[in-house]
Amino acid sequence: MKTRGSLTEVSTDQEKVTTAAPEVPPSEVSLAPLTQDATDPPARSQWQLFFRRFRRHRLAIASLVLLVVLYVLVSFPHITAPYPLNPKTLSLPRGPTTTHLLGTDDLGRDQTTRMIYAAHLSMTIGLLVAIFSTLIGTFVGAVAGYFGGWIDQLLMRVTDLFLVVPALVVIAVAQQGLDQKKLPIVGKLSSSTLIIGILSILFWMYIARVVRGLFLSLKEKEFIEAARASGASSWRIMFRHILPNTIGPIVVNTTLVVAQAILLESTLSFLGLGIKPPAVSLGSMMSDAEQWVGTHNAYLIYFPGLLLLLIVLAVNFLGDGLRDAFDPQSKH
Amino acid sequence: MAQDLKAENPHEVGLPPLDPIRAGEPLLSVRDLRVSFKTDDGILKAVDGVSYDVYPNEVLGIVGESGSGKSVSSLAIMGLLPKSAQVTGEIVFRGQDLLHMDEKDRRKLRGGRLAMVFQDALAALNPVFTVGDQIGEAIAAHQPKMSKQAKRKLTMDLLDLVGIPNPAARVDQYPHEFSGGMRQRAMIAMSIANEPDVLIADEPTTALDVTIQAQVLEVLERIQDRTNSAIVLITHDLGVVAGVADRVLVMYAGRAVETSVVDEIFYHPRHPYTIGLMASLPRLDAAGAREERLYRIKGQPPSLIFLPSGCPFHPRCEFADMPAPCGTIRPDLELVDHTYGRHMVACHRRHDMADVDHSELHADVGAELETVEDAAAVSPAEATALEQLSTPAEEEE
Amino acid sequence: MLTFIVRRIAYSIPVLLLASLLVFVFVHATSDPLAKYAQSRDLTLKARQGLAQGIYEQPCRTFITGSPPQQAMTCTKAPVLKQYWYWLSHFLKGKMGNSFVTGRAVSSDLKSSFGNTLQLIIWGVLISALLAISIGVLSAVRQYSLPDYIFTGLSFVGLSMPTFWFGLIAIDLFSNRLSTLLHVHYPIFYSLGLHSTHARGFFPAFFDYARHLALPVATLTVQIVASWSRYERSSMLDVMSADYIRTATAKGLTRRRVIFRHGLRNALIPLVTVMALDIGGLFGGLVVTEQIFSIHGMGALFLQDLGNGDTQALLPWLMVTAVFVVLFNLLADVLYGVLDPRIRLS
Repeated sequence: MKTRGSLTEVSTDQEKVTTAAPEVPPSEVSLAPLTQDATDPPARSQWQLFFRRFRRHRLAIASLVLLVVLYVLVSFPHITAPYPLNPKTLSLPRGPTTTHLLGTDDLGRDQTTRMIYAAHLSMTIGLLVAIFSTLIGTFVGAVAGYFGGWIDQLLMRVTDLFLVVPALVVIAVAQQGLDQKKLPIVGKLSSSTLIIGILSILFWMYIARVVRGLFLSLKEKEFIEAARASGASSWRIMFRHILPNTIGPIVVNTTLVVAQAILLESTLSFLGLGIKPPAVSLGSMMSDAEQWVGTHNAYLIYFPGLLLLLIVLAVNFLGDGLRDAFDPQSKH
Repeated sequence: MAQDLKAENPHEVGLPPLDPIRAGEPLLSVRDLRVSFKTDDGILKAVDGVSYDVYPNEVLGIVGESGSGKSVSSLAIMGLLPKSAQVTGEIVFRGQDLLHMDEKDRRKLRGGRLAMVFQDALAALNPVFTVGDQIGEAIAAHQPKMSKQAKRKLTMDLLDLVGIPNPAARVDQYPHEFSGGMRQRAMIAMSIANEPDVLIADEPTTALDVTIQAQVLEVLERIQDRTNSAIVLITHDLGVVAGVADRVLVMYAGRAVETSVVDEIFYHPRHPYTIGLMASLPRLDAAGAREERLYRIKGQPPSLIFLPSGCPFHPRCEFADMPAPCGTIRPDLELVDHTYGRHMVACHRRHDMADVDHSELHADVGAELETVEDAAAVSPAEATALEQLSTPAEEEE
Repeated sequence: MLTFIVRRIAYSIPVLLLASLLVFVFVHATSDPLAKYAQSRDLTLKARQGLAQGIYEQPCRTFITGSPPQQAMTCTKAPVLKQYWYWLSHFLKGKMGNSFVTGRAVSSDLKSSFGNTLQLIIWGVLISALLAISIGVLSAVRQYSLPDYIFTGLSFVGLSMPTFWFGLIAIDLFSNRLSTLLHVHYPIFYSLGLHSTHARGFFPAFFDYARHLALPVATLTVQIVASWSRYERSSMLDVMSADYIRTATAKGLTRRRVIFRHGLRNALIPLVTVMALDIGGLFGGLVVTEQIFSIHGMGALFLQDLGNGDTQALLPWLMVTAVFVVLFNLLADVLYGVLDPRIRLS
């Protein structure tokens, strides 16, 4: 019967927020407004339920494990990589052998080694872009959604602007313009720092719009009215009471940004507008390898691409599992 | 389970209607119908052994809370349950066993001799087609040879029959351009397009306000006079049943708990649940009733996965008491009286209940006046399973 | 309806102008198109063009410097806003000017690129829409069946794969290895451009065209189908659990009629809207596909102009693609109103 009780709490999520809230002290509402049973510690059960549902999503679990293991492996290339990134001795490309499992590239560099460095850079870029854009986007979206006013106007107008001009175009123009230039304050940026900056600027708007929408609908809810009536300050309401209720969608969208950022970075690098030597990303590896399409050296395209596909696929599966766990209603 | 078998005898359950002229072979017989769903928490028994008959030209009212199985059993008759539903028992319509019929024949019955009116006509009508189009489609599904003009003429006649003014203009309007009551009338027009023998009306008046409710019920009655079809009226509202039904079947937790002719149910209810329902009706005749608070049955409808032991109503029952085995043995329907028609009750204390005057029950008895939301105790697994009911049956073509 | 359209267009004009201004300022601040040619012979010519096109304020001064003596030149750039105004006033009169770099008329480059991109879009969208709707409906009607799992898995792969990689793999496999496998000395599917010069006559030419289009259209389609079919699946699932579907079944309609007339008709409403929005973005969004398959379309043109720092050509490009985004946005709204009688635009 215990499990039943806790299940009940979730299914009626939305309504419970509104009906249960007035009796519950505001500070508890923010932790877990979803409980029906007063004897059950609210915060615990909500997360328990989340983990319980998430655990059932085997593919998402496997993806998470894969991503963590992979990221740890590529994070210490001096231990895990079999060869140095840029060896002194150079030779021609050679297919997979026992000494070079994934072969060597046109400068005789071990492809496994390069892929380890590249995957590290690509995954780090994806992660950092997602973190930065989530931090900025959540803050701006919260302010815009809660207060409305000029911030909201500005956010919406800027997003309109980006709707009209394709994202790839904006990034390409920015990258082309800023690369190798001395910028005020920050000075000359490396190609990876620059791409992280540009992608964060692009993706925070996406997060901000999501958060704005959530705040717009949540701020009208009764439990927020109750918190307001009890004299809580606007900032307290925003970050203690509303924000915890938006964690689910934000985390899911952050995951999606990781996937999108990795894909976009690889595309830019492929076009020669992203990561430049000496840094190496999966996209720039494939850019270098484009010349070998149709030859017996085509493995130089296949392997980095497959690794990239694997990473992004895992991130997407993870996002899908998180979405299901946070919001069981949206099954499809 | 052995005790349930007693209820299978059609002569005990299929109650001949009051009016001897209407007597005869039942049009529709439901025998020991069981519908269950697999959920994460266990097996949900939405309908748990229900038997009843529908005779020509009568109105059978099926009353119960949400989750009592009244809608699920009618969806089972129509064959509209999702594939995930386990249906056993027997549903015999004009001598044919519906549960062992091939899908093609069953489809021909649906909307033809066996039709259904759904609640909430706004959701039940397709928003992107005109009302006339949707009614015409129902006609065409069973009378494919009818000409376009004849179909249109019939559609307008149907709209006229259900009391929609200016059918010529209304026929080309979309459902959202109709008012709530008009939509429900259009829904009824659609269901009677092929003059069904049995019309199942599932909460046809629930979403409507009281005056419109009365009009819609009046339409149903008028139609019955015209077409001689039998109507199964499913509702949670005893007031609706009182005005229209000939016989009443009260359902609780997937089973029938009481059945008789309508007057008997209203004046001599025997089951504590029926008595509670009666007592919670607002009464205009009781002197000083305005000062009294309305009676409420305490507690919440039971979970259909974890049904209480014994009589499923006993945790909420005012009269469950020793030495009656209310908490241990599930009572079957037993005949208690047939002065005015067969009156059957599933209650261990059925003989004690004859003396209870339900008009004396008032707020003090059901001391707990906490708000009882309909189906509030339904677990999410149940909710999902019940939600699936809205998904139409998956047929293979 | 008309006022709605007019209002929407009126609103998009300042957005377009602002976008063009920002790009203009940014590109100008970060790159000087003439700097590249400072040492080149036809410097004076370029400078004159620049002068004519409002970049420089006065005639550039030439002087001789260094040993061996070389011609050099100093020019004074006009203020950015003045340059922008110059560009805008000409653009509004329909004069797009000439590219600094190629010297060709910007409008003629745009026209031919647009034609090529349009061909990709038409074929890609047609095939994608058919596939996506079929897959979406099948997956939804047979939810959790084997085909549903397969298509869901494939669409995840499609969404997780960089376009360029799919394009390269397609070329590697179907343009090169397939020929090797079949022992022929020509590619079965081409990976360069849209036509060969040797194909004569209607049918050979069409066949040749198809062999050119196959791979780029496939590359484009994979991406689009992945997202559209997921969208259609979820929209169809929503619709098929609606009450009116049950009503339709209760009327005695066949399963097929319930699915296609009642289900699909409603499930298409959101999909068509999304399609229109996506198509609008494709006009400037096929950068990668066109680059890989060497198709001289809008995307390839953009990369070329950007590489040259050629604002003169970039800005009209931006305007044209943005206008299509706006138009298809509008189309999405109008279609929504047409398909859903509950929403009539007034």
